[in-house]
Amino acid sequence: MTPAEVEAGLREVFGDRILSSSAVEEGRDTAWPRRIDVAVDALEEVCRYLRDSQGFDRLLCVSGIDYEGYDESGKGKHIEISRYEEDGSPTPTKPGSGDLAVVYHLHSRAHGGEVAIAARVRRTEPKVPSVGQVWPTALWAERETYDMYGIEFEGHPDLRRILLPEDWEGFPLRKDYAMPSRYHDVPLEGAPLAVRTSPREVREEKE
Amino acid sequence: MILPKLQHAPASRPGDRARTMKSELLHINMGPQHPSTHGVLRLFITTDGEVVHSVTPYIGYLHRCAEKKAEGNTYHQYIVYTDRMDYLSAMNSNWGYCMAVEKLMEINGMGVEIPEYAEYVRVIIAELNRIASHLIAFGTYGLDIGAMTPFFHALREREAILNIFEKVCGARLMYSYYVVGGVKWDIPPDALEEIELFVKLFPDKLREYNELLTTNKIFVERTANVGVIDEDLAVAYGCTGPVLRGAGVKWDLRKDQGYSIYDRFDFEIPVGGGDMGTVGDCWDRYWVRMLEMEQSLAIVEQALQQMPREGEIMAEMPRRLKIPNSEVFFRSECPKGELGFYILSDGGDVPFRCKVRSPAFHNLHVIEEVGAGQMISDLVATVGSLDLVLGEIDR
Amino acid sequence: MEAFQQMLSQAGWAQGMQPWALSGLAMLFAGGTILGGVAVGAMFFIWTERKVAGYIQSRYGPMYVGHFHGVLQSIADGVKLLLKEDIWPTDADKFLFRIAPLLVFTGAFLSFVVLPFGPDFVGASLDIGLFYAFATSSLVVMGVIAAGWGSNNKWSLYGAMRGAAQVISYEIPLGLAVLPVVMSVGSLNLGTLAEAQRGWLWSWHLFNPIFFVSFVIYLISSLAEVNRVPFDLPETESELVSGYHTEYTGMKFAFFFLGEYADMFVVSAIAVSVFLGGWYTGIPAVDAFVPAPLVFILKSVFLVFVQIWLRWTLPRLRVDQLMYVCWKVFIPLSLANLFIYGLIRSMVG
Repeated sequence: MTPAEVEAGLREVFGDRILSSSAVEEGRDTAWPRRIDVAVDALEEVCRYLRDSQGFDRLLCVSGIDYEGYDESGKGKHIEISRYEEDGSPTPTKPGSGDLAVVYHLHSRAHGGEVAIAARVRRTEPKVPSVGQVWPTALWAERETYDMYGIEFEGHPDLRRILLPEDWEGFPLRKDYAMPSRYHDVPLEGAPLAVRTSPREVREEKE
Repeated sequence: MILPKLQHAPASRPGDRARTMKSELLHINMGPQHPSTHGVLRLFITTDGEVVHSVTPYIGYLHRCAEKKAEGNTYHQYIVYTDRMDYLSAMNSNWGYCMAVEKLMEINGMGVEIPEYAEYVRVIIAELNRIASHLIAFGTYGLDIGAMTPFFHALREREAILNIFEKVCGARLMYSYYVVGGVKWDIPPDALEEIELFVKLFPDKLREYNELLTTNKIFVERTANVGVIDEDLAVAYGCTGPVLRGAGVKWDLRKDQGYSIYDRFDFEIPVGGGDMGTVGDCWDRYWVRMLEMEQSLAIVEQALQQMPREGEIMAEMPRRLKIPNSEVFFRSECPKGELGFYILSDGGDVPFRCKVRSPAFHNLHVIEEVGAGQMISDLVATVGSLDLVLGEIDR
Repeated sequence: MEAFQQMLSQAGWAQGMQPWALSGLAMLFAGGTILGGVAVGAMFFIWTERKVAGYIQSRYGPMYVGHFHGVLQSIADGVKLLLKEDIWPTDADKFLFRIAPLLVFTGAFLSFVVLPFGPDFVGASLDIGLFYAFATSSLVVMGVIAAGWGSNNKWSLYGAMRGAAQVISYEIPLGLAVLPVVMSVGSLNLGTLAEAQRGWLWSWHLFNPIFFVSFVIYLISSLAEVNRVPFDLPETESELVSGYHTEYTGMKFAFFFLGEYADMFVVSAIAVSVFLGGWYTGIPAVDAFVPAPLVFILKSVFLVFVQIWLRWTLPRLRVDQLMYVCWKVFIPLSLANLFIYGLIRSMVG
């Protein structure tokens, strides 16, 4: 089953809730495997349909994307990741406004097809239905996405941070994330030398 | 604290006190500093005597922000970070990433033609690294079960492979040998001789391992019918690699997706058949790895024969790699399973987003399901049979 | 001890001493000899273990200390352990935590008193020697439990519980296995048991079919008794970190270590005196000029080597499998063995 057939099937069932798909333009593919963007509210149904009717029995990967600063024109301006002020405090970053997205890569053992399903959500309201009931492997992958992007998966039974400590603040893979210089008063690797070398008392006085 | 608390009730009849005795489950942290969690994995387990009631893995102790770093490093610079993911098979990780970038270039019409010679070098080195990784899996699994000697024997042979790698690229653990478009250096002639010698000697060693551990009665008793991950469970939890094949699923990207030049070699995909117990038990997963070493060796042998005498090791590459807006998700068969890279580019010289699909991350997930209801010793055996590398899980 | 007493009574400086003082001095000498022997012997076994392990694992093992194949490595380790910081877990039970290594070592050490190194070389020729040896060596389990409980560590507690269950279970087949021999000789005195095997090689108890079964049961059970692989469940470094002695450092740990190796020798020596002909070489003519203790120690060391050899070859059993082997295989087998021997004896007379 080719991605085009998958897409045709999806459009037939879900109509305009299938928003767009990557296509071949100017002789180049923009996504491999083909990426199909669906409306957030249709995501769970689409996934169920793909698993039951199209034979996509394996969820390979769940990836979050922060589209803040994504250059549609293809120039790719470089985004500063995070910086520190001279005294070691993190430089405040401008809150981003770009969308967040979740991409699910599926694979079928029955016909060997691969396809990517994506859902874009607004940054202000990052809520996506969980597909943990469809593929159990999504449970951990969604926890990781939540950990890094703060996207909340509704219906997830155990949505906790997975890689970072539970009291970590912020979502590090967002483009507007400001890297803290300390965690529980421990200077972080990569923080300015001033933070890492000055004894604790001096730092406390400064504060 | 630890013992079940005795609650004294008014004893009217003998035996009444026994009925009011209350027992509690014991909560134990297995790790992050525990000998058999293969790194800094922390399993929070609740037990009733020797029986484990629930297992909750806590990971992230080795998190090094690999995905964030990808957004600040160029496509070439990121190769060194892929070494640090699965540090026992860094060559395979390198290769997976390089192939993902090459695929990204290909779909954008900037196709790179990998020289044939370089493809052979890539296959030979990657398969040797697969053997080295499986050797560690075999040795440490012996340790988990309580046999220490196989570990040293396995390390002895791994040492030979590391010596070859040292001659090839100068490093013994973090190679960064593969680059986008080929490999960094040619295999020196003496290293080639060493590979040939290794191919000649290794089958004997494999036989020795099987005599020492695989068919040992105690080992079979400890691993057969233990930690059964059947086909449905493995597929549902996204298990890949030997864990999936141990469950009896004939799925290997090298054959089924056919990347690189694997179609030129004649090799089998070993799957678990429940020879000693149930399909998908610890012994099956272990046995699949042992058979895979044989197959890798066969691939290396064939590659050595087919390989052209000399050739280019790298394709013509642009000095500064810039890829237009596009995305790719490319998987390759690593010793632990399917390592996937999801790369999204927006025209700059760094990836806009690089997500790593780590096989061990998903293989570990299944322990929540399998671990409950086992004995502590079996839990150790099951964790060991998943062959986890925490560097890859935490990234 | 008698030998010491005799020597003392002949020595010039001890003339005119009271008999009680004389016997007290002899006790001190005998005890000191055994203690020194145990310490040095255990160190030798530790070194042997490391060399044998090295050989089996195709590496060298210790090579530097003492110039010749690291013979003094154990002494260097001992010095290191002496100088180590003595760490107490915060909420440890101070008394139990302190007493545990002593119990383990004492249990192993006490058994040496009855080991018949030769016709005259025995600390105390007790009539209940065999019983005494089993009793003292199960003192070790008290130490194991005390260590596990006193450490206030859950893994240690697991180790202690496993150790208690295992050692107590395996005492039964261990005791039952030697009973046919005791029935045959009619004594529990280890010296008498060894004496009964005087003569040619085939007069050893090992070569009697019934006793051979006993020997096999004894050998395997004794591995469990001294917590060696494949029965080292109280330690299981891959499951319980280090079992009951996880929290111990320095000299306290060294006591556990010495105790383990001394225990290995004790069970081997009992096997030698009960089954393997004691201090007899198996050829009467040779017995006359070969020193008895040498023969006895060499045989015991060989059995210790067998234990080491097994440790570096075999994986480890699971705890329920361990119990299965004991209760469902060894105990019925040794009972049947005992019964059959009794039947034969009552019929043959």
